[in-house]
Amino acid sequence: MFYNLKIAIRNLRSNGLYSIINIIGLAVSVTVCILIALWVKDELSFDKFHENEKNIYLVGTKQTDDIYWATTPAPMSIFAKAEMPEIKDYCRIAWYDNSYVEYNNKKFYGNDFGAVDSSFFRIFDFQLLEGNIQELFKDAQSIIISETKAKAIFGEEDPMGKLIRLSNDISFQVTGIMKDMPKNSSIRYDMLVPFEVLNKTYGGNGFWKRIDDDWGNYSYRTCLLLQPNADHQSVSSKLGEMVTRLRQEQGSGMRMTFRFSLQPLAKLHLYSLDGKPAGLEKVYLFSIIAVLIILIACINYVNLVTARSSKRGKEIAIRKISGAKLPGLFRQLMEETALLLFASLAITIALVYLLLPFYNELSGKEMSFNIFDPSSLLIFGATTLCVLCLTGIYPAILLGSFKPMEAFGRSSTGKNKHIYFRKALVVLQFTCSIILILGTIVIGKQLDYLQKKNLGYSKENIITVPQMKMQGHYDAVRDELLKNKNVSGVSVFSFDNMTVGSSRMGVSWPGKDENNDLVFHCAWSRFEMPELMNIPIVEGKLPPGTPGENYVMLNEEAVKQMKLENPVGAKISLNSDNNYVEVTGILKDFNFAKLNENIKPLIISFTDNSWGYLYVKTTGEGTQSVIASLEKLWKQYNPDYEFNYNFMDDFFEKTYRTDIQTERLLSVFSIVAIFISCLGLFGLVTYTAETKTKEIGIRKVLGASVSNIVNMLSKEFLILVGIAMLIAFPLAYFWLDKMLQDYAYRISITWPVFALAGMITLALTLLTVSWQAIKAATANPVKSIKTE
Amino acid sequence: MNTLLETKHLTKWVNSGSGRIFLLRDINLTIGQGEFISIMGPSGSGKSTLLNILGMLDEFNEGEYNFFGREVHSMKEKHRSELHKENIGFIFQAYHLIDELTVQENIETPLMYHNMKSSERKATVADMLDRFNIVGKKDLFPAQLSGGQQQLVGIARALVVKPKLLLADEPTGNLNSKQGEEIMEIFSKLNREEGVTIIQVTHSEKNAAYGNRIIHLLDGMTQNY
Ligand SMILES: Nc1ncnc2c1ncn2[C@@H]1O[C@H](COP(=O)(O)OP(=O)(O)O)[C@@H](O)[C@H]1O
Ligand SMILES: [Mg+2]
Repeated sequence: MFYNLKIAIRNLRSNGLYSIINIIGLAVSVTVCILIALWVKDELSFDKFHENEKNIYLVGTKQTDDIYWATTPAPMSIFAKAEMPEIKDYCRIAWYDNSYVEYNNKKFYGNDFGAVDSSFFRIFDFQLLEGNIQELFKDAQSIIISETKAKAIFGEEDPMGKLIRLSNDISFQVTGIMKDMPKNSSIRYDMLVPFEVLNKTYGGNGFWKRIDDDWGNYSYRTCLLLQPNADHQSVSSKLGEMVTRLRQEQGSGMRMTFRFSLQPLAKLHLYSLDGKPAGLEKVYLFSIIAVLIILIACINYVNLVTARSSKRGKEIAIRKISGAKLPGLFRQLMEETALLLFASLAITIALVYLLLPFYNELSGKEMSFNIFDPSSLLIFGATTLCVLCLTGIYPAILLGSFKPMEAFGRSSTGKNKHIYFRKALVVLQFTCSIILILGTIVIGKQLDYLQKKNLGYSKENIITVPQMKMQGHYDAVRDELLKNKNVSGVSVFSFDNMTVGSSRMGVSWPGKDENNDLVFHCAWSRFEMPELMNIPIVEGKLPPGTPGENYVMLNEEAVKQMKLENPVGAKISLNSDNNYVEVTGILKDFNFAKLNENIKPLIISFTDNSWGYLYVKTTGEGTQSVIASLEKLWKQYNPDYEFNYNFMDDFFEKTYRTDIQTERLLSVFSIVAIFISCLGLFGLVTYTAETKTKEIGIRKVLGASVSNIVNMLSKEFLILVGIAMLIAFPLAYFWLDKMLQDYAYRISITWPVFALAGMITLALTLLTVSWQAIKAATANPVKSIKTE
Repeated sequence: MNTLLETKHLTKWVNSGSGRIFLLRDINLTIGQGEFISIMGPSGSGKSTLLNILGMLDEFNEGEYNFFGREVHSMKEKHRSELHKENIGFIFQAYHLIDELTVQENIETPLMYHNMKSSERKATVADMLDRFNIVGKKDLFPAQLSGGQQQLVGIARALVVKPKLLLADEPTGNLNSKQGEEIMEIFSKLNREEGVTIIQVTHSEKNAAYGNRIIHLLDGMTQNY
C-alpha cells in the first residue's frame, strides 16, 4: 500500500505539468459544481420543509388564460371551508404595511409584517418558540415576533406580554416568539398580526362593511390545506362555481364567471402561477452546466493519460512481464487517480470557502457551505465518486489492458490508436464551451437590448417617492418642489417605475362584443404625467378642469383591442354599472410591464386622491438638492416613515435582477469551461510538442520555418475547434432561440454573434497552442535531433 | 575554382561551471565549389559541431563564416535559415526520417517548405525515387526498410531540393561496408556529374578516400600536415 503510494506520488511528480493541469482543472470544475449544487439545492428546497407540503395550495385568481393573480378576495376561503369537506383548513396572508416598531421610545425599522389567520402555525411548519398554537392571538392587538427581532428590540428582557407600537399607531401585545422563517421559504415575515387587524380600514361607511365580506378586494393570499387525498383540480373548479354563484346571489348585476387555480405551495418558487416551470428551467440549465464542466475536466484527465499511454505503456508492460497481476495494476492506477483527486479536492474545499461570499453576491442568495454538513458531504461524495469513475476507470482499464509486446514493439505507423477518441473528446469539450460562450453573448446582448430599448417614455432624471400622506396635498407638494430650480416637473403615477400592477375586467363600452371580455390594466395619474414622461397624446387631449372621476385616457392598444371607431369622446363603464366615464384622449403606447410581455390595454384615470408615487424630474443637475427638498417634504407629511427614494435610471437593474444574475453566472461558468478546455488543450499541445521534438528538429533541418512548425502543431487543434464550432452553433441556436421566446421584445440571433464566439474561441485556442508551439519551433534543431 | 564557403578564426565554446570549453577553436577553411571533402577525427573532436555550423543549424561565438559571398556571422536568424533552406542538404548517421511519413512523403517534405506546387512536387519526388531505385518502396514507412534503404531515402530527401552543398555526418556509420560503398559511389557520382559540393564526416579511411581532400580535426582544431 505505502509502496504503491510512494510510486503514485513519484509518478505524479515526474509528470509535473500534467499533474498540475489535472489538479487545477479538477479543482476548478469540482468547485464550480459544488457551487452550482449549493444553488440548486437552495432552489429546490424552497417551501419543502412543511410537513403538509404536499397538501398546501395557494389559490390564484385566473383573470384570463394567461393572466393570473396570486391573490383572492378575503371571504372566499371562509365560504369554501364551510362548503367543501376537501378543505381541511385555510390561512389568509396579507402584507401589513408598517414601517417601524416602537418600544421604549426607540424605533426599529426594516421589518416585514404579515397579517395571518390563527391557523398559520398549524398549517405551516414554522416553529413557535413561545406562545400557544391553539390560541395564537389573544385579540386583534396581538403580535408574534421572530427570535432575531425579539433580541433586537428587547435585548435580554422577556418579550412575552410586552406592548409595542407600530407606525400606524396601533399598539400590539407580544403573544408569541417564532423562530426566524427560513430563507428558503416563500412566506417570510418578521412579525405576524391577526388577519382581523385589517378590519380597521373598514370604517363602516364604505360599500363593504367588513374584510370578511369584501369580495371586491383581491389583495389577500389564500392558502388551503386540503385533505390528503383531495383532488385539487376539482377544488379549484368548485371554488370558481362557488364564487360565481355567491356573487350572483349578491345581485349587483354581476354576470361574471370566476375562475381560480390551485398551485401547490412547494411549486410556488420554481413554477409561475400558470404552471410554467420558469424557475425550474434555470435549475436544469445550471445543473446541466455543472455536469458539462465536470465532464470537460474529466476529459482533460482522460486525454492526458491516454496521450501519454504509450510512455506509461512501457512501464506497465515491464510490470506485467515481471509478474504483476491486472488487479494490482488497476489498483495502482486508481490510486494515482485517487491521489490526484485528493489533492484537487483539498484545493476545492479551500476554493469553495474562499469564493462563497462572492458567489452569494453574484447569485443574490445566502448559501453556506460546511463540509461536515451531511448534505455537503453528499454533494462532495457524489461529485468525487463521479469524477473518480470518469477519470479513473477508463484510463485504468485502458492501460491495464495494454499488450506488453505492442508497447515494446516499434509501432509501424507510429499512430496511437486512441488518437481519434481523444480528438472526439476535445471536440466535445469545445462544443460545450462554445455553446456556453454563445449563451453568454446572446443573453448579454438581449439584456443590453432590453436596457437600451425605447420604452415609450423617458426615464432619465426621474426620482420617485411614495406619496403616502402627501396624498391629498398634491398641489402644495408640487408647488413646493417646483420652487427648487433643479426640479423641472412633478407628477404622480399609481405605481413605481411606470409599471402597472393592477388590472380589471368587466369594462363595457359601446359596441363591445359581450363574449369577449378584455382585461385592462389600470393606473391613476396626474395631468402632468404625459408631458413629464414624454408620452405623446396621439389623439384628443387631457381631461378638462380639475382631476375627477369622469374622464379617462386610453392607450393605443386598448383602442385597437376594443375596436373603438371614435375613441375620443366615447363613454365607457368601468364596472359594467351605469356610471359612464368619457375618454378624452389616447396616449401613445408605452411599456408598463417587463419586456417579456407585449403592451396590453391600459386605462389611465385622473383622480384627486391618487394613492401612488410622486414622480419628480430633475434638470439633471443638483440631484442632491432635489432629494433634500423631497426629504424635507417627507418629514413634513410622513414623519413616521423612513424616507426612501428611487431613481428610475436604476429601474433596469431591479426589474431584470434575475435575468442579470443568470447572465452573470453563465458568463462565469463559460469562462471556467473555456479555461478548463484550454488547460487540457495546453496539456495536449505540450505533449504533442514533446513527442515531436525530434520530428520538429528534422523538419527544421529540411527547411521548415518557425511559422511552418507552429502551423503544423496548431492546425490539428484548430481543425478540432472548427469542428466543435460547427456542432455547437446549431445546438446553441436551438437552445437560445427557445430561451429568447420568453421575451416579447428580443434580439434575433444573427451571424455576428457566431462570428464573435468563433473568434473568441479561436483566439483562445491559438493563444494556448501557440505558446508551446513557438517554444518547440524555436528550439535548436541540433539539440532536438541529438536527444533520443 | 570558385569559393563556396570560407571560415576565418571560427570558434565555438560553451560555458561550463569552471570556465569555457572550446568545441571549435580558430577554424580556417576555404572550400571551393565542386569539392568533395572528408572530415576525419576522433570521437568528440568537434566534427558534428563543425558540420552543423557550416550547415547553419548551429551558432558560433567568434570568427567569420562567408557562404557564397554572404556573411553568415552577421546575418539574422531568419535570413540564415533561408540561406540554409535554399542551399544545403543534410544527411545523418541515424537517417532521421520522419517515422509517421511514407518514403514518398519523407522525400516530399523539404519541397513543401520550398513552396512548390503539389503537381511539381510529385514529379520531382518521382524523379528522385526513380534515380535511387526505390520506386517500389515509396509507400512504405521507414520502419519497414533496411538501414541502407533508409539512408538512400535520406540522401534522396537531401538532394530533392537540389542543394549546392551536401553535408553528411557519418552517413555510413550504421551501415555494413557493402551498403557504405554504395552510398560512397552515389556521392562520388553526384560530385562528378552534377558538381554538388560534398562535405562528409567519416571514420573510414577508405570512405574518406572518395573525397578529394581530407580535413583532420583534433580537439576542435584543424590539423595541418
Ligand atoms: N552544447 C554542448 N555543450 C557542451 N558540450 C558539447 C555541446 N555540444 C557538443 N559538446 C561536446 O563537444 C565535443 C564535440 O562534439 P561533436 O561535435 O559531437 O563531436 P564528434 O562529432 O566529433 O564526435 C564533444 O565532447 C561533446 O560532448
Ligand atoms: Mg559526431
